[in-house]
Amino acid sequence: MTRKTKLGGEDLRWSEIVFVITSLVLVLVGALGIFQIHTKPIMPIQPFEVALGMPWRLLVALYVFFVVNGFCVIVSLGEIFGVSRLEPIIKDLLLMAIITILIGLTTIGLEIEQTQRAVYALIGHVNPHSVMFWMIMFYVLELIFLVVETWLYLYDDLIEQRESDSVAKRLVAIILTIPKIENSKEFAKAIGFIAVVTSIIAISNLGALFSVNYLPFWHGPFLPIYFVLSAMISGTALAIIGVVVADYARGNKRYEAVQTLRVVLGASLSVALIFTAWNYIIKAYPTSTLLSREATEVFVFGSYAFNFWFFEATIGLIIPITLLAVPRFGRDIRCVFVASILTVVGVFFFRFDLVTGGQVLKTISGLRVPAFEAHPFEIMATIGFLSLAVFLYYICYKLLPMEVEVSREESS
Amino acid sequence: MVIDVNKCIGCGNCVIACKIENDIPLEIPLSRTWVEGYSVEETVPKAKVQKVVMNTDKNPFLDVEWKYSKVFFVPRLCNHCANAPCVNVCPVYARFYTKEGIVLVDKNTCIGCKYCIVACPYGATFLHPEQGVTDKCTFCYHRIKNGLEPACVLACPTHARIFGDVNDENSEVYKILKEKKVTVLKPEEGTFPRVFYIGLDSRFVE
Amino acid sequence: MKPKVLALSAIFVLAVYSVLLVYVFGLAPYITKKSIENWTEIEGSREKKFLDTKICAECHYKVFKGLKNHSSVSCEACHGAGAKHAITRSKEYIKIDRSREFCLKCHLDIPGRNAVKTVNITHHKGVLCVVCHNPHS
Repeated sequence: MTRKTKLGGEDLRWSEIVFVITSLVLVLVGALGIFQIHTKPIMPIQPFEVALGMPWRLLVALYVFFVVNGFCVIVSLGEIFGVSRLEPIIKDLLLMAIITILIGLTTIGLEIEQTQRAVYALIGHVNPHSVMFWMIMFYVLELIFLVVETWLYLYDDLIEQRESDSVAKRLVAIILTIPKIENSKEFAKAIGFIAVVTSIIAISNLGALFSVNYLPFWHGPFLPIYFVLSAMISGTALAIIGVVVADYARGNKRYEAVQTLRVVLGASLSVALIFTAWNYIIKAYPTSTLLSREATEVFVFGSYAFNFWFFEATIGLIIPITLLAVPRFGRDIRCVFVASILTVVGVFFFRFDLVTGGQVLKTISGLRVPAFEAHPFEIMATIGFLSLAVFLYYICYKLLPMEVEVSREESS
Repeated sequence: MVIDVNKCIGCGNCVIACKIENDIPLEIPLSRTWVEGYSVEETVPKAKVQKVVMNTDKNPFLDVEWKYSKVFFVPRLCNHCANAPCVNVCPVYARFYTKEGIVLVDKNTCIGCKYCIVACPYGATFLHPEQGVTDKCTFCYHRIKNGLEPACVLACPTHARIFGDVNDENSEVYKILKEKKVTVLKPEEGTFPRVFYIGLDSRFVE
Repeated sequence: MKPKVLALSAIFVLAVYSVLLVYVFGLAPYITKKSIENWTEIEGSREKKFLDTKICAECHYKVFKGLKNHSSVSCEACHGAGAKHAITRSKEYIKIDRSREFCLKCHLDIPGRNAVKTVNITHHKGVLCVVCHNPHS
């Protein structure tokens, strides 16, 4: 027997109030951190050639963490390629995709030194040779396509929401359904196809942004592909987390969808394990090119060794693969949830190590290679952005029609 | 520009002159041009290298303990590459080539994304701490437009830095490039730098 | 999928992409060219703080008569930036440093200095160099 779970117009629970207040406080902390970053210099005033002054720090790693997410790919699997088991979670994923890209672009907008000139790329100062410029353009395009696709996908539910009980929901629904559209789900599919193509282009552009530089840890043609793979990993893991948390809060279970995601996550993690292993082996091989071995030394026994072996390899790859692959653990939603959290932590450290650890080795002999120390303002800003993302997700979940038809008889 | 490493004595006049001419605070260890002092011992397979850098107005070469016997000083600056990575990667086209081939930074357009700092293989560009945009050597563009020499060339007491037009047959630079053996830093990058070194032992220079 | 839906979405997508391409390759080069010309103008007209030896010689020609050892050194290498001094003709904008540390900055015998005559730090310790050696001779 199936029963539609109505999600609108419920009372605010005590836990929700605590959550809202905590996240707003953390967002304020983040805002303070950003304000301090822009008024006081945090980058240690050392020239880059002395390898102590690193230009791209925690905020750029956070940006890479936010925007390299393959939500669009999973949505396209469910929407366009017809994997019907993924259908109940499409709305959540679309919302997560928009929020992560939006927050990611805000992060990078506040990270650059002259934030008031952030629009320069849009008002005519463009360099067509620059990979970073194309990356910004493709992410903006992807955001446009995603917003249009989400609006079209939710259109029918928004029309239903016009008769909802709560005032906020009614207002949102009325505003968003002012234009009249038929066949909105078909339009959503068509735009969704272009959104996923743009998403893959944008993510690989970000990878190319790193690979065209001279740094031995980044150089080479594989980073664009590696980023797409990493996007699949973090996209699936964040999707699992988002879906399970939303289900826990709402009281329904989307078991089949999470199991499909588990399969995708397990496969991507296995490929990533092989990829990472060969990446380091080839770079550390005695006959590999100039400075690659010094670059990998930093990660294998140097100052990034703990980050790499513990966070990236064990927590990020090996434990999640075990948890997901063993059937006894894999069928339990709680284990999949734990595996996803571990994966997300591992992926964050992978991105962080890539961005900062790659720059640590700008120069070699005669210099010690220092570890990266995050300035407290950067950490405050990071916390602020993360809690802003969660808070926005919560707000949008409350205002938009996120109900799904879930069959109640399927439970673990 | 041609730099003769045999003539550099590590006095640091060039660093101080550049900072005064181009409004960079003297006590901050960031400079458009800097001097690296190397002391090496040629052991096989890996040589032992000690590197000391001067980029403030205080000269560290006078007090430092030189560990090994062979010491040489290498003045470094922006190489104004013909295929400059910093020009290729700037998203807002804040770096450009003038018609003489000099690479300039448009400080009114720079958004401070610091991609050029990551991309430059020579570490020649840096973030100006007060202005909040990136900065680098401009070969004292405002001086060479009026026929003067860059400040570092003027201040060098041993004539280790020589500046000139490579296409002008009467210039000293043209004669040196025709007769002597010169090298550039990191030719494998494909940046085609425009600063040539005489007598450089480039195995240790990064 | 219905052909009308396909056509409309294709038009929308192509419109967005062509706006981007027209902007990047058509409109933007005008703005970048203008801002480059602007900046080259600004950069070319900055204030100079150092001048040149031949400008020093216009007033101080007598110094150059006996100059032998330091003849290849420019005046401003030791005396500092001279533009303000040339305009104001006043002593407060030019620097004369007679201390030992100033001479030893170039002449101390650290290894690697083959281009100048060097001297050990113990050479007549405590006495100013200019007492015996005239830098302009």
